[in-house]
Amino acid sequence: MTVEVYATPSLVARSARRRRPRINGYLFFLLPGVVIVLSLTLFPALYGIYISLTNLNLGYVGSKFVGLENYLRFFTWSDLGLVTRNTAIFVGSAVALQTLIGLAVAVLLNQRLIGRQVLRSITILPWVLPSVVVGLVFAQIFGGSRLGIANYLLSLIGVPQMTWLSNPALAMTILIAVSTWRGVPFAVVMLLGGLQTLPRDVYEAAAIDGAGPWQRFRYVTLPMLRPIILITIIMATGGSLNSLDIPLALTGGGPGNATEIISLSLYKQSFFNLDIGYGATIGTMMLIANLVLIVLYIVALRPGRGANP
Amino acid sequence: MFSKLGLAAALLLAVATPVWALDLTVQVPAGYSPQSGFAPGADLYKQLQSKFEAANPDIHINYEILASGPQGLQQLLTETSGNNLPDAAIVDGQWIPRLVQGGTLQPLDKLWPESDRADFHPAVIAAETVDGKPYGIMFQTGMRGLMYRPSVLKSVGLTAFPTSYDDFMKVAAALKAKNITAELIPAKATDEPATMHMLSIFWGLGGKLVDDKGAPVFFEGDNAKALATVYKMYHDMVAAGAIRPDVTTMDETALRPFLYDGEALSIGGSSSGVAQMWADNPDLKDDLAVAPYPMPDGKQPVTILGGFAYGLTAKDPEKAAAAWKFIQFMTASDMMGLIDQTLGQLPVRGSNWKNNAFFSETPIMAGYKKMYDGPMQTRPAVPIYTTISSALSAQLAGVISGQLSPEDAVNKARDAVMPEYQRQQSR
Repeated sequence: MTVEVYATPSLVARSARRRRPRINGYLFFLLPGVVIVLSLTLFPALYGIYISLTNLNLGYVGSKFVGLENYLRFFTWSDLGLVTRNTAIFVGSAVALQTLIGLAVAVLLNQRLIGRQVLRSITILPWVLPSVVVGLVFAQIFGGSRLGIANYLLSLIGVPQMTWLSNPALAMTILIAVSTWRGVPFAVVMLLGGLQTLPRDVYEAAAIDGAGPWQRFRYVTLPMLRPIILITIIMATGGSLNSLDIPLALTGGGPGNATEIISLSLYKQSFFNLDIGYGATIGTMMLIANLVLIVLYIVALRPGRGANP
Repeated sequence: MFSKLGLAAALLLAVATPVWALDLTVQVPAGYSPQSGFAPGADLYKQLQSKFEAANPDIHINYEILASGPQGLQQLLTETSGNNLPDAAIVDGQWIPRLVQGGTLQPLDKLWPESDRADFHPAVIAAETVDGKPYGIMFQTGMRGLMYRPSVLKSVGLTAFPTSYDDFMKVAAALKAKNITAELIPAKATDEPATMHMLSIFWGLGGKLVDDKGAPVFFEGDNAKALATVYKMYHDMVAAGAIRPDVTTMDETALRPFLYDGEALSIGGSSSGVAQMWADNPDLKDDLAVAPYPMPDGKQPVTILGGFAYGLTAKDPEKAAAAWKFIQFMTASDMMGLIDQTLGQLPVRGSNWKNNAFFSETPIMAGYKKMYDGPMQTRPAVPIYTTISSALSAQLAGVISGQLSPEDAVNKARDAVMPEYQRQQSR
């Protein structure tokens, strides 16, 4: 039986209301916070892009629009290959190590260990220290004199003192190690939090099915932890790519330019050469690099890709 | 009752601050104001302000903070174009030509007596003078040289630091046998102090960085030869073990442990670091001296002169007169000596070197006085200077490691500077 509905005025009104999207009240409560965050993040980014199109220099008053001149200069920069390679090595190594070590420590701290609360507190300590202090302290530790802590410890076992930061490969290794030391606590916090939200019944089911510890970790923990790992890698990448304080305090880009990474180049152009326009150009390229990496991570690690064991 | 209280308050205010007092705005870097983070400096500036205002009740000083570094220069230039300059300011001596060009500073030739100018080092007057007129009064400087321990020098049978390059290399060989490095100079890329140590030697060899129009000329003719000689000296000293190769990763602060521990005879450093070194290692108070860089062919290094200066920025005649009174007060010999001693800086007045007990009697100050009496020069006040400085120090690592010949280092520095110079010319 067909029921015919005639379009009475009340029906038309209800239909119109159904078509009109409902604006939830909570959006208005979110708006002030969104406006503040966007003004503190989006606006500076857009303004930085604008500055990159000018020849703003701290040695002069005023600037003029120069179009893509700064970008042309960036792509014809003779040290671009070297700096890109150094940055890729530094960021790639630091992110991988922070994530892997962070995951290992998080798994350890998730066990029922005696004193695990104390261990968790100790793990966080590197993170609460200011980064520039970390860089300066490790510069003292790896100082080339006999008063350097590392050389002093070596002298106790009869090893001659080393010029730690004057060897390019060693300097980069130390830089990666110090950045990793500083960044691991953040990864631990993220991953430990994720581990503690994983449902126990899945593990019990896997155990009943005969899965050993490694199989449970590989086929249960990792897939369920994938979203948290993704966020950790994204945050670690951003932190490493934009890291300036530790590289500046520890090596300053040296020896020579063996540890010169893109953030140092931006800093030197802006505050040594006073060329803010060109510095903003480097910053914009870093922003693009960050966005590209985030997209790649999301594609590679998005939930749903092999999430089911 | 409230009306009586109000009347009492008004009377108090009238007594405390004369209603006819002229408000003088003085813009200075924080370290030279009562807001300084260095407590003795802050106290001193508060005392001096009280003393000046007590002697001049018709003038009230308002300190404003000037941004440090190049931002301060831009701040003043922006204020000039916006016509809201302070009445007086402390400026970096290097900025004076730019500030005169921008119309920020007022000439002092009709205000500053010749008799008082005569108390200053001629290089100081030259640094403040544009087109024959002085535009600032420098009140302090720092000097760079080789700080060494006389006790270590004595251990190899010497009483005086070698002045010639050849003698220095002989001493270096003797020290190397005792596992002591003769000299450590900062050679970190884009580190301004690293360039400043190079410049003293470069200028001593007769080199010029820029011509009279401010164009870079360090890579031309005799200038290029002088710069290549400087690079060669660094390379040869490292090759002979007189300098450690890891100086390319060190700034002045990083060199100090080597001096404290006796691993190095001398380190390149600034006079402004002496107080800190004494605090780090009290033994150095009686065992620290300063010497100029050992030079080849009987040449003498040129000490880099650099410091802050009081400048007159007020255009209104009444405010200019009041500001000049304040500047005269702060740059008087006794005030200047007190400021320099408290802040750990070196005087630029001959009378301070002679009459202030700290500068005339402290042993290390005798070494600085000797440098003060010798040739001094300021760094060129041209926008391309920062690029030149970065380019010069950036080549040190390659030269020291042997990957770059001295001549190639000069050419590489030129190739780094000239494109930037062309860009600046097109502004």
